Amino acid sequence: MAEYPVRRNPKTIIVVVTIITILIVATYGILSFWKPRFVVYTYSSFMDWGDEGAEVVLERAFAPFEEQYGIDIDFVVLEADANFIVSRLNAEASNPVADVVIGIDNILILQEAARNVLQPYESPSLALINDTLVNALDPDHYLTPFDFGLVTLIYSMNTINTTTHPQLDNLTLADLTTTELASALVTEDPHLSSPGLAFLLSQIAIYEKILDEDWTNWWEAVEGNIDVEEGWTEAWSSWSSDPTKHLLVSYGTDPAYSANYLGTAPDTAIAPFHYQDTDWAWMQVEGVGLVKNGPNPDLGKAFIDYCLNATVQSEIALNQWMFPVRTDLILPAVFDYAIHPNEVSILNTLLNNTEIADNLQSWLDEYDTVMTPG
Amino acid sequence: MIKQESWGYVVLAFPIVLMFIFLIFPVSSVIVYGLMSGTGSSFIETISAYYTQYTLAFTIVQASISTILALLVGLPGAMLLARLRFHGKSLVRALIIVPFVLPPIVVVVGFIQMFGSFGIIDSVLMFLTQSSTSIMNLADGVVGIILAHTFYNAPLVILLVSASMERLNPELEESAEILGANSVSRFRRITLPHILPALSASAILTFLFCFMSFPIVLAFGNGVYRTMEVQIWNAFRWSDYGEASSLALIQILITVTLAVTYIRLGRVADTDSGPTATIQTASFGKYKNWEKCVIVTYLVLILVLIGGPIASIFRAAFFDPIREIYTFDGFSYLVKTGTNGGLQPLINSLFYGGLATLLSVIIGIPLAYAHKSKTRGLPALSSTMVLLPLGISSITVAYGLMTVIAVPTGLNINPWPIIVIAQTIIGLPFTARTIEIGLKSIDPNILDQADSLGASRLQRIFFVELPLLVPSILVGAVFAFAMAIGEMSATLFIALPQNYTLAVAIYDNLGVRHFVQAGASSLVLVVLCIAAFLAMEKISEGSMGGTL
Amino acid sequence: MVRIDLKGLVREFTDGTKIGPIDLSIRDGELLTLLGPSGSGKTTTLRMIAGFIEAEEGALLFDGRDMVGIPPRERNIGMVFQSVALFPNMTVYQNIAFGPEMAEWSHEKTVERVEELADLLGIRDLLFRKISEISGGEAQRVGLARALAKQPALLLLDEPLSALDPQLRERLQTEIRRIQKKVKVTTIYVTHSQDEAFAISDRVAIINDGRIEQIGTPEELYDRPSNEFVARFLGSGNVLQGTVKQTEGGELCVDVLGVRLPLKGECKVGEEVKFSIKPEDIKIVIEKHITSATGTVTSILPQVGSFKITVDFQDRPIIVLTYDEELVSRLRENGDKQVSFFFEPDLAVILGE
Repeated sequence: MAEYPVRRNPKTIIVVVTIITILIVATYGILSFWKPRFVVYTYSSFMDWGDEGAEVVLERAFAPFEEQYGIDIDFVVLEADANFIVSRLNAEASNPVADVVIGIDNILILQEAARNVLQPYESPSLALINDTLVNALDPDHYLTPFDFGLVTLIYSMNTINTTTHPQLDNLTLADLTTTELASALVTEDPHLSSPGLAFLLSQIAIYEKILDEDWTNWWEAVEGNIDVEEGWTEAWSSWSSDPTKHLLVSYGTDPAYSANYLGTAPDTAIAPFHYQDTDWAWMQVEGVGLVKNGPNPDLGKAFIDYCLNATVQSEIALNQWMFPVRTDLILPAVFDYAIHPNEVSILNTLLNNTEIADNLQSWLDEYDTVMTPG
Repeated sequence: MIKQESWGYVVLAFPIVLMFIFLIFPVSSVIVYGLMSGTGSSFIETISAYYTQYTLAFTIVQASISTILALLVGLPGAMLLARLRFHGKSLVRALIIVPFVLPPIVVVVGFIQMFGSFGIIDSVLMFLTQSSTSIMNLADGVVGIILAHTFYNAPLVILLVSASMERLNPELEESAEILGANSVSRFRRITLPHILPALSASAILTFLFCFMSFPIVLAFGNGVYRTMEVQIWNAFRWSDYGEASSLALIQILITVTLAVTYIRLGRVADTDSGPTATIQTASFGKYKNWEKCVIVTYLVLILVLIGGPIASIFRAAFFDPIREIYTFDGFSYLVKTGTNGGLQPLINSLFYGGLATLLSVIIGIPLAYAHKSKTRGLPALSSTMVLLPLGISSITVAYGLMTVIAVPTGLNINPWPIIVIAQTIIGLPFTARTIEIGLKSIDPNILDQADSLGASRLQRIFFVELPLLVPSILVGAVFAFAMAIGEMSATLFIALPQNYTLAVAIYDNLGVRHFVQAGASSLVLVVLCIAAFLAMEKISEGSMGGTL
Repeated sequence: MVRIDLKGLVREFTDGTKIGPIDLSIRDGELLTLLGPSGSGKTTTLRMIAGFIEAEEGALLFDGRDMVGIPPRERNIGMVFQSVALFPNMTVYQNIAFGPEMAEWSHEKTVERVEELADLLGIRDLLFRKISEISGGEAQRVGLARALAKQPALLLLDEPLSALDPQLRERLQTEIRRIQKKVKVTTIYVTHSQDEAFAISDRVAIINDGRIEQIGTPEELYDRPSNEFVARFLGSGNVLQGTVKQTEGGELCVDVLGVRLPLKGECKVGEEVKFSIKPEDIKIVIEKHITSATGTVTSILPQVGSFKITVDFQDRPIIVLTYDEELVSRLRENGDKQVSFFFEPDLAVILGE
């Protein structure tokens, strides 16, 4: 005869289950417990394009700083662009986590949303860098220049070249309106990507200031053919994996990257826009800024000063593939393949900051309207 | 009835208070702040912008087309499921819900593999035409969006409508047959009116889901085709709180209208007679030849459209389309620790999903009781709370939780509790509804018996009600878990890198064309979902038909 | 064991139906049946006694203690419903042991009690079965054992047998009666079946429209229905109506549709009276008597040991029971089907309003 079951008291079961749950949650909570640190917000792929990867590079560049102040720097790499970081800083404005943010550029800083979350700081290290960069980025010192680059078109010489497409030598936007080249062009969403926005502003500058034409005409001409990807990484993937995509909105340092990667001459070439007998490119300056009301403002300022040190700046070329703002540093040899700012006319000079700040939102809205099908 | 004890009110009020704190308060503060503070576009600017109108129109049109397609694809399936007698029917019934609970981002992976360029269908076409370039890419643009939505919602239509068909009294149809009605007029006069509430309910739900669609449109829309939700996401990223709030408000107004209609229809459907055991079924052999052809064609179509993407996720986990080789890289990614590994996201997914499931059940049970309560207004309040998360943009919820809960409490430093809360809210409608149905089906006499035998309210709940609710709780838990591990948009918004879940990792990997990594991660999620539903089917013996 | 008193118990529902006022006393250890047609309020009355429905007015006394406002679990009752409502998640043993366990009996005492009841009801070998593995009759026995397990003061049975087939029902009726007498628990039994009520009860309360029409032993009710409803409901009733024409020392002469019939009772001349006469008390003769009532035989139905004859008396059916086979064969041969019928005056019962 089987045993008659005894009814268990539910309280015991509940208590046991509760205790187990609390233990699991507590373990996870403790394991992932955030120790107060010095937090730097940055975007994905920051210093991540070298052979060693961001972790090693950042450790090497910032270890002296950590040692000096006895802290750990927590680089929070948000899987998004600088816009999203600004949005997050806005959300956190009443109780910020981050002390410093790296990656806001000379367009984004014109946005009120970005200025709202930053604290102006004039670093004594600014003496180490060229004033033009400071002025190009932000004369109000919300941001301190960190690196810069030229946004331009690149193409893979394996698929097209100046023989098959002679127009690449003196490329105009009009050349890109043919179905062939328009559908071979990959760019980035100007809402979600800084090179994408730089390209939009380049195009606007050329049309409005050089050609004196309605800039939206060009977008109407390429709409439906041009490949607009979400961000630079996505655009690069599309351009490099799809043999029908020849042209990419990217950086003037890409041939240098290619040469470094191949160990030979690059297979990537640059096709800057050519107007008025000169090549034009957009200069993007990325800065480091102090988060307003951040938990460690003094450390933040020291960090910004430190960012202009040669230790940090010398890592930029081969890991970020941008130009360090410390122009006194010697660049790696492969940078000979890159176009340098003194080789082109800078499109930014055609649009002054006030003009961009005032019109950016409406330009984006117009862009949306043009690019919206129907 | 015996008067509600005061602690009973506390228990019933508990989930409603939580929903106020974690859903209504954050969302309304975000909207009010966005509309009042004057940051970004105003409401008028937003709605008068051409692209807003276009987005709204596109959202509605794609949702309508997707709904119609889902109904067209789902209706024959529902009839087959109700009328065809075959082995393993309960298994099919359990599996058919799987597409519906798959993470959208996984569906994206499956679609690219099945219908995309160099996908399975494209490869077959390329082989047939001896072409070296891609011929067809259905996993992109409007076509991709609509196909994916059909994939998602046809199973929903099949389940809801077949459940209703099984409740149709066969005598009605028989007498109509005796009276000389042919099969077309029999369907039109007898079957259609009977299944109409279920059909409309599934149409509304489908429309609602397509209307709120985010990851699929983000992936296939190329930034050009946007739903409201995608545009809200963009607006938040661009710190245009005015536009985000205006769009969220419009979205809520539309979804609330739909939800109210759905509740009304639900009330009609509730009065249906119970399932009849004598439903007319026939085995496949009983059908005429041409009918067999139609059935087989339909099954092939379903297999390609619904089975195909799921099956191709298996291929995606091993096949790297860029290098054109089979590899285990995807799986080594999943066990890789560190910032670029998939292990942390996997652990996060399981942990957050598990906690969200637990919370959904803990909140869902009192919500279901509140729905049954005799206290005036309480049932309406609870069913509103249950439906709200379906109609509120999860990105708005995420942003609200961030600004109103996480930031003031400092949780934004390590926001995993906020992610768990967001995932709980998103899964709650399914959990609460399932438990509510389970509660309704308990014989009230059994509860009276427990009372008369001297069981206190607590003893009754623990010894009688909860054991009887176990199947529904399990079904609800599986739904909650599936929704939680599949949730991407809110998590993407709230998470810091250490909080990324597998769904977010899939999205990132897709963006940089790490297809095997995305494929292997998707496979893990698919296997988790299927395993959960099979286990549940074994325990609950097919009681989930009425869940939605 | 307990004595139950219902004093002017009233409950009105939002749909307008009203139960009560009900006055009723159930003696200690008695089995009282609430008998009435469906919708008469018998189940509602039972649920008020159990405490599932709150009475709005009146008093409900258990041994003189007012129970209004006391929840069911504190009333020390056992209940069995038509749908038995066994706990499907428990075994037979766990079902029966539920009450004692809730009352925190010791495990040994609980086991002893369950086994005792299982033996009493012949379900000892079912104790480890699941509920899905027992038959309908067994389920009723388990339900009864469960209701009795914690020795309730009051046992409430709500149509416990009406879902069972007639043979099983009869067997269980006897069993319930036997067990009730053995454990001497005060019992209220609800049924709509007169046979069941009469077979099982000490006393029966006829309930109609939320009110108690008559209370009494089965014999009292059958022989002396107090009103037309009771007479008709119990089937004891050929109910006729007439005007009193003559009275003489308790003997009446009543004019029913032009025929004068003798009755006994205290009435005044000219008064309208209703009376009932049981079918077996009516005699039929084929020979016509001028003084007695006449009618046409419309049907003759054989029953167990008797015949049920319907006589059309001026468009009113009169039911007659007879054991006289010779009479029946003569009636069948009788061409014009005309018969006379009469009854002993003291067998008819004058009905109240």
